[in-house]
Order: sequence, then structure tokens, then C-alpha cells
Amino acid sequence: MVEVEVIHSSDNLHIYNDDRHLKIYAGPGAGKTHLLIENIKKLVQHSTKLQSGFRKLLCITYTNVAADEIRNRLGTLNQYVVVSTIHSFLNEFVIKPNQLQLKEIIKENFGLIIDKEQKLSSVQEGFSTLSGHKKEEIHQYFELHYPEIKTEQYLELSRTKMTEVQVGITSLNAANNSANEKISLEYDTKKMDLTLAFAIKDYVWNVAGRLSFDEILYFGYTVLEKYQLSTHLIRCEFPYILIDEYQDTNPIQNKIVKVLSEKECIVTVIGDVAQSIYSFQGADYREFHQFTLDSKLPIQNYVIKGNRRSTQNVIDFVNYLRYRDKELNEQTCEMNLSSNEKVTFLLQRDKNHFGTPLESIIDRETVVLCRKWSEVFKYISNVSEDQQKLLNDISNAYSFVLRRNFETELESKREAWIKSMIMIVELEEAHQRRCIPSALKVLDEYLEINSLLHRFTEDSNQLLLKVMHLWGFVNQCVQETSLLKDVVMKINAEMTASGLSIKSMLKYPLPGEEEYIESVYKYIDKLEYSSAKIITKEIYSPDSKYMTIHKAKGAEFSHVLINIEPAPRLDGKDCNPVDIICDPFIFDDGNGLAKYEEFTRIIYVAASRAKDKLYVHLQGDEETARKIDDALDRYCNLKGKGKFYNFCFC
Amino acid sequence: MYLKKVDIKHYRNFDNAVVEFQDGINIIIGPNNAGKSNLLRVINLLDNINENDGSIHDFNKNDLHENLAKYLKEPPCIEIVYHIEHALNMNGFDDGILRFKNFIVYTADGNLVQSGNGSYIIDAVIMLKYELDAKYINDYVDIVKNSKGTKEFLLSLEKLLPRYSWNYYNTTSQTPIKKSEVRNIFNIDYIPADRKTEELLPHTQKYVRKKLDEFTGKVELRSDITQLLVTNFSSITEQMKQLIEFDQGSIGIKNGNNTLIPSFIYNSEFDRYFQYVLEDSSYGYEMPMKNNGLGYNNLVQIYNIITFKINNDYNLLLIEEPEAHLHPAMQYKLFKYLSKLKQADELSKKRETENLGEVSAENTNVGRVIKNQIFVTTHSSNITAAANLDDMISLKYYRDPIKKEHKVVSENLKNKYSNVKFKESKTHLTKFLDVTRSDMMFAYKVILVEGLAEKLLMSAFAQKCDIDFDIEDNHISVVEVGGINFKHFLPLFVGTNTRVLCFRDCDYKYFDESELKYLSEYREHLNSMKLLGDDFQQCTNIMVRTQSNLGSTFENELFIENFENKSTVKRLLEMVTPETLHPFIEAIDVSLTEWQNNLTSISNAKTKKKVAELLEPYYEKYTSTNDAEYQTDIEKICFANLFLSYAENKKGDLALNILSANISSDPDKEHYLIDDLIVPTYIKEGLEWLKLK
Repeated sequence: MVEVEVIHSSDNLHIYNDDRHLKIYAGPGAGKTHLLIENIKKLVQHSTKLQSGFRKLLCITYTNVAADEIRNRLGTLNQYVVVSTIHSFLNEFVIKPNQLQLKEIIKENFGLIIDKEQKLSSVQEGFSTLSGHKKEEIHQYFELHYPEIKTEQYLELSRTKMTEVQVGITSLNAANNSANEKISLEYDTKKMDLTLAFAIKDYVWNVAGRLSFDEILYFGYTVLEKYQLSTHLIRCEFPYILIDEYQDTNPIQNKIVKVLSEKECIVTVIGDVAQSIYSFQGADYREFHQFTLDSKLPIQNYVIKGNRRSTQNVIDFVNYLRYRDKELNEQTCEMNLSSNEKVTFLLQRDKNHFGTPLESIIDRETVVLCRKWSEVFKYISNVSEDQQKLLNDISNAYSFVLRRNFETELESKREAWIKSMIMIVELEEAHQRRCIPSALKVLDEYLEINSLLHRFTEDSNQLLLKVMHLWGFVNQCVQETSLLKDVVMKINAEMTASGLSIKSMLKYPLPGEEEYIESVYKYIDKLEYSSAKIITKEIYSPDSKYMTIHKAKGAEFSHVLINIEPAPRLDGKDCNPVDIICDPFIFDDGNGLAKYEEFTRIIYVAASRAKDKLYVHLQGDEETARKIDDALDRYCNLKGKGKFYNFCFC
Repeated sequence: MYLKKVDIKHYRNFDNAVVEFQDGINIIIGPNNAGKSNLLRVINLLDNINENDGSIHDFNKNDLHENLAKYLKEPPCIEIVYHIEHALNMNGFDDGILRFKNFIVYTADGNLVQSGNGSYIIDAVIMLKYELDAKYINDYVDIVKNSKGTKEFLLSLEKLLPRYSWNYYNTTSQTPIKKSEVRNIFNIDYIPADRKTEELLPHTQKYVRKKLDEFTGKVELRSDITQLLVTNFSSITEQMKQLIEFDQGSIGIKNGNNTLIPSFIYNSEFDRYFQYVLEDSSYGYEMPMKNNGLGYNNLVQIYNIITFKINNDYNLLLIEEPEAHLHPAMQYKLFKYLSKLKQADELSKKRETENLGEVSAENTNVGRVIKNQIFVTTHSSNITAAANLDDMISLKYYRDPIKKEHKVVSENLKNKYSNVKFKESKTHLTKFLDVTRSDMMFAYKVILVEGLAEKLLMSAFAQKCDIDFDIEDNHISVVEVGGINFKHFLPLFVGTNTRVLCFRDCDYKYFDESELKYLSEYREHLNSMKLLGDDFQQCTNIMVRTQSNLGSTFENELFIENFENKSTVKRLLEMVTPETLHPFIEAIDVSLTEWQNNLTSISNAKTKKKVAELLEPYYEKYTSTNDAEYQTDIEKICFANLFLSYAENKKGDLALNILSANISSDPDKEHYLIDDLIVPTYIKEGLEWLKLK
């Protein structure tokens, strides 16, 4: 057992003493950001190393949102700090300045010669490595440079498949691997052979100049490992490296930190193993658990036990979920002492219907946290029973048919029908408000409008009138047409007929098209515009109360409802949500509960978002309630606590 | 980290030049208009550049003129490339390298060059361009295309100057760099020649301000002074108070909740009170700097700047003509000071290299004595006497409008003597380079002579050969090398365009065991002479000449060549011989037999004896031959050597007399011997060669 010192989130950890690295266990609501900010202030004030205007402190966060949050709170201190995600950091400080070295590595490891003039950098968030590149251009490149590849091999290949060709980092990610292991490309072997995969990568790197996120990690690490000066420069520039959410760290990131910490750099990692929920992106909480560095300096362990967010009842529940943890099994309530609301288990008797409308039970402000966007549909009310069922079907179709990364697709609004749906709703809303600028902003994505606004001529005036007419048409159309699909088709027809110059049509895949996935679209085709409008307003409005658990990470809300039902991907027997509640395993202690433990942690993360009131939504009846009550009661007795929970059926 | 090299294209008088610098001290020497100040400006552009900097005169106009046809199609562009070198120790983590991390130049495989002692030599390159905004290229062509001649072109170009700007580039990626990023590399202090010496330099002022900023008790001190003022002037404030008291109410000031209180408040910046005061060392009275001599003030200022800045890392100090207003003796001291600094720095540099690899927190501050790089321009030949030859960079500007050639050539004197063969020469040179001899470093043409007489007469000879010494173009320096062999000076000129003419004596020995040799041996002697060492044989800019008309030194050759003109010969003899001999010289012909036969008429016994002795060996040979030609030669040599032996020890006086003694018999007229003299052939030939471009 490691020696751990208990600290408070306002403590000055004397990082600037430069005599040790720090590892800080901090549970939910512990005030991690507060601790970070406080210690950054202290570092800037006291560190002799930061006196030079050229040396800075590096703070790595897991998401851009978290980086923004820290930047906002740093205020004028920002001039001494670089706050960034590991990807942006590597992109800006390793990849971009070391192009020559990067190309040398690509030549050595993959045999591809990258043009001297080409600049390689990270793909932007929300875009693919081939965004903006037409299939025809890619095909032309193949014809010219790879005449040996037969055209039919790639003619049918989608761009998505092409962007999936990536440097495989799984082997490097396997915790104890060295960089010497042969790294190769990963691609769909059913769709292409190695030669074609290389040709695709050649195009992506040489023409598009983009590196995928995994490639940023891989090349970032390889450059630092191979080229001493690049490492030296980082060490010079960043004598202190603070890393938040270290439990979600990728093993490559850990390797990078190890390389840097060999000399000069003082590393501080903060995290909570119980909140590691990114295994699907290669994260491994053990990197935090077993954190070591190749440095002469020791690592000192700290833990923050205080919870400044939740009520004692919510804390009791989350403590219960991780009672098997050794480092931090008991948080104490520090701030939210006034509320006495219990944790409520909402048990839904009928799988497909709410017996009692949810609104009548939960507070209006309650934020609904789901594991996936598709589950959110179940909470959409005010639609007819048929449409409710349809939404369920769509949601199930996404869960079962399109397993891969669909949440992110949905979240980033990249799904064609969602994008079109949002566009139409926005136009209709703008029409109701008679707001021309909003309408023009929406339409600009589809029509050439800006040029019309530049200079007043008779021609442009005529065309603008046509735009206005189209807008009116959209509004008219949604009143008269019921199906979303038909609305889209009508608008597209009207756009074509208008004679306006079109940037892009509204997208809606039809049978036979690449994006048309029959098993999903057979439901979506039946979606009524009125339901679509409700979905859009509920989910995509800025004040939406729905959110995925992954996205809610780091955030907090007064009232929270968490959906932990169902977990269809997991083996039903081992991973029944009720079983998890009754016997939570926050970590896999070699008991083979890998999926189970991550799900426990997802519940843990979701539950710990609540400040005042927590609802846990499950399917079940009195029997279920009894089971849960048994398990929790035992815990309460053990700890000498009263019941912090109650039950409610719906 | 230091500025290692600049490549300059089309900037002012630099059309296409490369100048290399060294760590520590760089002394840029050269004649006027060689481009010394322009070079400092080039360096200064790394830190201090304004949007409005740049004028039509910043372009190299020779280039514009010669390539006019090209520039009618494409806009001219000034290009300066800066090379920075940094020795990196991977165990030290100072911010030095961060200053230029975005300009690092790697080898083709992305690695670095490793130096012997485990550190890395890192090169960084930055390009600065004064260029036309690409958007206006069509406008440019429209405006300049019809220009006839350079003058019109320049007028058109000037119209486009607002579209020109200075931009920095990364030479590897060819991408523009923000000005702030380049300014971060070095902090440059530029002290121009037109500085004011009666006030503190702004750089000194800044230094004082910085020190004041570090001082913590400023606020308290201000309040203390205020208190002092209030206490001491209380009677005044009291009077004022009474004066305004009864009026306040009546005009309504009191109604606004305020009362007027007269007071003294000290609220001033302290740095403006800083100044140097001179204290008389004997009587102790004080005097402000203003009342002090210009030169002395200048010395104080320069000394200040150097000491304040010397310990600043990444600082470049540019001083233009530090010798301004300084007496040569002071100049000597100033440069001696620089040279001493340099020595201390060399020691610390050595120490640093030895400690490399074990840099710890304790010894990172024990660095070099001179942490910054100092650039000094000068055309004071005093510096060469005091400063280290290795620190000097010579700049020269060559122009030949006929050949359409113009260029600035820079030479690091260090490199001149880097060859082991010249090691001895360097030792000699450093010992013998005094103020007068140093002049040759500033000259476009150099004449090296052995003695004072040649040096004094050379200008007059040149005039007789139609060369004007005084024209700027000709800037000819005549240097008397005296006892040391001129070969020690020659490495300075190897590979340059500087024409060097050396006059050396053939030093023929006329006698073999007191017997006069056959004169055919004179030819043999000349033929056997190696006038120029092997190292300089290939240098077309170096020419050596020696006597060829039976003379062995300048003086007797001069005599021989003028032998036909008997009156000149008599004047020459009279200038060196004792007065008692003059009547004798006047009375008879300059003829060996005449002199021999009339020896008895020399009044002074001592002189008689000397002359007899001098004539004797020649007369013997003279009488023993029937060859008339041989006899003439013997006669010439006889008198020439007689002249030489009398001239010994007063060659300088002889030269001055030739130039300035009025030999006219009519006191109202001026006539000088130099007017009658024929320039010795070997000198004439040499000067003719020197006249060539």
C-alpha cells in the first residue's frame, strides 16, 4: 500500500520545490480545478524556473471544454501557462515544429516519402482526415501514382473506410511495449489490401496533410523519443507539467510523460481511477493507478477526501459504489450540508411505458444523463404513441445495428437526417420570429448568399427575393407535410427550381445511396416532422436537459436523473444494472469483470454529478426494490448510517 | 548564442556580401564609406524595426541601375539573412534556445551537429525582406514600366514604397514570422555616432530605471520627501492657507464637501535625478558632466554602456565610432580596455568548456565574462595598436563603374593569420603595428617601404608619376616597415583586392674583401634574389620592386639615376656632406679623377682623410681598366656610395631637404631639389603598376 497524504483542495503543494513529482487522488467534487488553479498561482509566484519570460507551465486537460474552463479561471495568469489537450499540445509543440523529423520517421517506418513542402498537422475536431477532398480527386491520385492498383479495388470504397486507415497504436498502447515494435497500418482487411491502404495513407498525408488523433499521439511520442532536441526544447519550455484526468490517459501519453520527466520536468498528475470511462478510446486507468516515472525524483501521493459538491446522501451513494477502492473509499461532505433529499430509485414497471409521467415525479430542472444519445429518445414526451414507439425503434436500431461510435456521430450532428432536421426547424423558428439574419445564416450553408449581400444590383435584389421566397416555402411546407423525409425532398426540389446558386442540398439518404442504412432508415423514414421538431428542441437547444454521461464529465447539476438501463451490449447475466447496484465493482481486481467495472464507473461518474438530488432510473418492480434495499441497507449498517435512499415506481 | 553571419543582398552599399562575426568582441574597421554603419544597421534590424523604416535609399542603387531592365518587370527586394549559432548543452535548461526555437536549421535527416565535447552546435537562420506586398505587383509593373533611366525609375519606385514592408521569414518553411518572435531573440542596444555626449545616454537611463524598479522603498521615500517639503515650507503653506481661507466660503467651494489645503507633494520619478558628477581629485569640488570635455564625456558614456550590458545574456551591443571626440591616447585606452575584457572572456570560455556536462544549479551563473556580443565600428587607426587583431573585421567597398562592378568585401583578420605558416608573422605584426602602420588596414592601396626617406618622398614621386595620393578613391597608405621584413604584413592582403606595392632594397655588396667586385655580379645578384615568398607568388595584387641600376638602397639608386645632372648631384652631395667640403664640391666636376687629383684642396683634415678612404678602392679599379663604360659605372657607384655613407643616419633630413629646402639662388624665387629629380626607375615602374585599377 502506497503512502498517501490527505490534503485539502486549497493547499499549496509546493510543487516549485522541484524535489518530487506528485500524484493526486481526487474524487468527484473534490475541487480539482480549484486545486489546479491555486497551485498554478503558487508556481507562477514562487518558481525561479518560471522567471524567464520564455518558460511556461503546461497544463494538460482531457477535453477542450475543460481547457477553456481553466483558461477562463486563470485570467491574467494565462501568459505563464499553456492549457491544452494532449492532442493540441503535441500538434503545436511537437508535430508542427518537427516536420522534417516527422517526415523522416514516416519514411523510415512506412516507406512513404512526404513532400518537402507539405505541412502535416492534426485533423480538426469534428472533421475527418479527408474532409473537403472529393472521391474523384483521390481516385485520380491513385491512377497517377499507383497504376498497379486496379480501379475496381477502390471505386466502391467509401471515404469513411479510407479515413479508417490509420497507424495502429494498439500494440504501442499495450502498457509495457517499447517503441521498437514494428508499427503497421490498421485497416478493414475485407475492403482493401495493404497496397491500397498505403496508397490511401499516402494521399491523406501527402495531399490532405492531416494526421488522425491516434497518429498525433503516435508520431508525437516517436519524435520525442527519437529526436533529443525536440524533447530538450519541451523540457526547457515547460519545467512543470500538470495533467488533469490522468485516469483517462492513453498509455502513449503516459510514455510521453515518462520521457519528458527523465530530466528537468516536474510532473503532477491528478485523477480518479473511479472515473475512468474512456477505455473505448484506449484509456487505461491503471496508468494512473500504477503511475511511475523514469526520474531520479520520487513521486509523492496525495488524496483529497473532501467533496464540495454533493449532499451527504449523494456522497453516501457514490461512496457505496466504490467501497472496494483502497485509496479513496470515503469522501466527506464539505459544502452542501443543507439539503436532506434522499437518492431516489425510479423503478419503471413496464419496459415500454411510463406508468406515471416522469414530469410529475422529477423536478423540471432535472438534467437527464444517459449513456448514449439513442437512449435519450425514450424521455421525449408530447409525441403520439406511434411516434414514441418509432423513436424507441430508431434508438434500438442505432444501438444494435450501428454500434461503432454512433454516439459521437449523433452528438456532432453529422448524421444527415439530423442535420437537415435541425436546419428546417431553425428556419421555421426564424420565420416565427421574423428574423431574417437567423434565416440567412442557416441558408448560407446551402445557398450562395454572401455574394448577393455584398453589392446592391437589380440582379442580386431579384435573387434575394427568391431566397426570401424559399424561406416562406419552407415555413409553408412544414405546416402541410407530415413526414420529415417529404419535407426535405420538397425543399430540395424547390431549391433546385429557384435558380439560386446552390452550395449544397439538404442531405437525406435514399435507398441505394452509400449512407442509406436500411435497418435504420426504415424507421427514420416514418418520422413525422412534428416529432422531429420536438426532438430537435429538446435535445439540440442550448438549454437542453439531456446529456451523455461522457459529456457531463467534469460538470455538475443541481438535480440529476441517471439512466442506467439497459446495457444491451454487455452480457445480460453478469451485467444486469440491478446486480451492479447491489454489488458494485469499481475496479477489475483480476476477477474478469472488465465490462462490469467500467459500467460501475459510468454510474459512479453520472451519480456524482448531482449536487442536491439524484434519481436513478431502472426497470423493475417491488422485488427489485427489495434487492437493492437489502444490499444498501447492509452497507448502511456497516457504516452506521441511516438510509440515504428511497424508492419510487413509475 | 551569438550572431555568426549575415548575408546581405541589395541593402544600401551592400549588393551581395557576407560578413562573419565572432562571439564576444567584433571590431569593424574600414575607411570612410566602406559600409561600417550600414552593417550595424543591418544587425539592428533584428530587434528594432519600425513600420515606417525603409526608404528608397535603402536599396542598392548600383544594383537598380545595372539591372534596370529586370526591375521594370519585377520589384526589387532587400534580403538579409541572419545566422545564429548556439552551443547547446542538453543538461542545461536555460531559456536561450527557446528564443529561436522556431528558426532552428536541422541537417537533412532532422538531427543536429554534435561538437566534440558533448554539446551540440545549433544553427538558426532568419531571413528579413524588404518587399512589395504581392497584391501590388501589377500596380508596380504599371507604374514603373515606362521609366526611362534610373532616375525616373527611382521616382516611380518611391510611389510604391508605402506598399513595401519589412518581413521576417523562416528559411526552412519559407513562412512569415511575427516580428515579436524575432525581437525576442536578442536585445539590441544601438549607440549611434551622433549621440549626445552632454546628457546620459538613454541606455544608461534605462539601466538606472531598472535598478530603481528593483528598489523597494520608493513609495516610502516619496512620502518622506513630501514630509520634508511640507515641514520645511510650512510657513509658505500657512500663508497660502490664510490667503484663501476667507474666500472659499464666499465662492462656494466649501459647499461641495471639500476644503482647499495648500501643500507640497513630491510625486516624481527618481531616475531623472540620476547624473554623474565629477569630483576634482585634489580639491574635492564638484562639477556637472555638462561642463566636461566632449571626449571625456563620450568615454564615460561608452564605458557605462559596456559595463552595464556586459553581463546581459542575449544582448547585442552596437557602438558606432566610440572614438568620437577622443584624443588618440584615450582611444588607445578604450580599446585596450576592450582587449582586456576579451582576454578575460577567453579564459572564462575555456573554463566553461572544461566544466561542460556537469552543469548544476550552482554553477549555471558562473558563465562567461562577456555574455553579450559587442560590435564596434571605427576608423581610428589607434585601435589596431591596442586591440586584438583577431577581433577585427575589415570592410572595404570597391567600385568600378566601367566594369560595372561594386562590392563590399569583409575580411576577418583572424582568418588571415590562421595558417600555421604565418604564426611568426602574426607575432611580429602585433608587435610592430603602431598607429602609423595601422593605417594600411584602412587603405585601398598600400606601399610598403623600408625606410623613412622613401616614405617621405613617395607622395612627391607619385605626383611626378601622375598619381594623386589624396583622392578618396586612391586612399594610398605608405607604410615604413623599418627593420622587419615586409612578408609579415603580406598575409593581411592575400586574397584581397588591395594592391600592395613593396619597395625593398637589393642590398648588393660591392666589395669582396675590400676589393670592388666586377659589376656583372650585380646582375647575378639581382637574378638570384627571391623578391617574393612562395606564399605570395600567386597574388596578383602584390608587387615587389627593387633597385636595378647598380644601386643597393633607395638613396644610392636615386643618386645614380640622377648622375647625369651634375648640378642636382652636387646639391644632393651638399645636403649630406659637412659644410667644409662644399667649396670643394662646387669647385670641381663630379669626376673620380678630378676628386682624386684635388684631394689636397679639402681644407678639413678629417674630411680629407675620409673622402680619400672612400675613393681609394674605386680609384684603384678605375685606373686598372681601359673599359670606358666600366669606368663610368665605377665612377657612379663611387659617388653614390660616398653619398650613401654620408647620408647614413640622416636619411629623414635628406628627404625633408629634398622636399623643402629652397635651392634657388634668387631669394625671391622658390626652387626645390625635388623638382629636378628623376624618379628612380624601379619606383616609377612600381607606381605605374599601382596606378592600374
